[in-house]
Amino acid sequence: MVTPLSCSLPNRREGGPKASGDERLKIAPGSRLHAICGSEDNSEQYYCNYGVNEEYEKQFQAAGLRVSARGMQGESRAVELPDHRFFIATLFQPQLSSRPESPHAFWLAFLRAAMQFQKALSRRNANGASRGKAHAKAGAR
Amino acid sequence: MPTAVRIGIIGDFDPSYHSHFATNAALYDAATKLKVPLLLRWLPTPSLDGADAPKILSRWDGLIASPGSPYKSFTGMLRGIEFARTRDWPFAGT
Repeated sequence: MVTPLSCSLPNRREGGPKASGDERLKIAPGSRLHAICGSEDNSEQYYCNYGVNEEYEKQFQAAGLRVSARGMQGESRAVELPDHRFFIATLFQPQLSSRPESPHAFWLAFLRAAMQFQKALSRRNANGASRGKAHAKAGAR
Repeated sequence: MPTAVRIGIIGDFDPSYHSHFATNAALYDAATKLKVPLLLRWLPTPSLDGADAPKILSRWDGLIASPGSPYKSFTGMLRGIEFARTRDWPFAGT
């Protein structure tokens, strides 16, 4: 499903892997990635030698994975699960262009999702615990 | 003091690999901006290739698949991703 990249990025770093340096992206409108990153800054940093094997793309899509970003030649660069609370995988590495004074929007969105999930989990556990107590009471009678 | 957000990074940390440092840095910077304490740990892939993987993974509020294949245990990595996918756990793979 993953295959060595057939060609290098135009701005490949000297001595770096095929996908190194930056590349412009087309982020699919309506995707979660688009909601996070918008489309105004869509150049991202890479450090990778592999990409999605395009022969499997139809199977990915049939399984519910959607391509949320593509390179200028149409190659898949990011995928996501639309029905999941937060499931995004990217070939680029938003951590490489994140800066202390302006952390990358991708990581801000991921942390926010984790914070919301933590709250949802603790509510779920609190409900579960009270249910557990009720069961224990019922059992004691 | 708000509760710390707990993030587990699935991967085999290599101090010589810039992307791994950058992953840690980006997360701490993002947490600082959001004013939330961050508890960040790397989860080595071999630690996830056993039956207790869900127990280890469910301790975290969000999971990340780190860059840098080949992993020491590809099975461990896949179990981590599968857990996030099937249990609706926040997940980022970069």
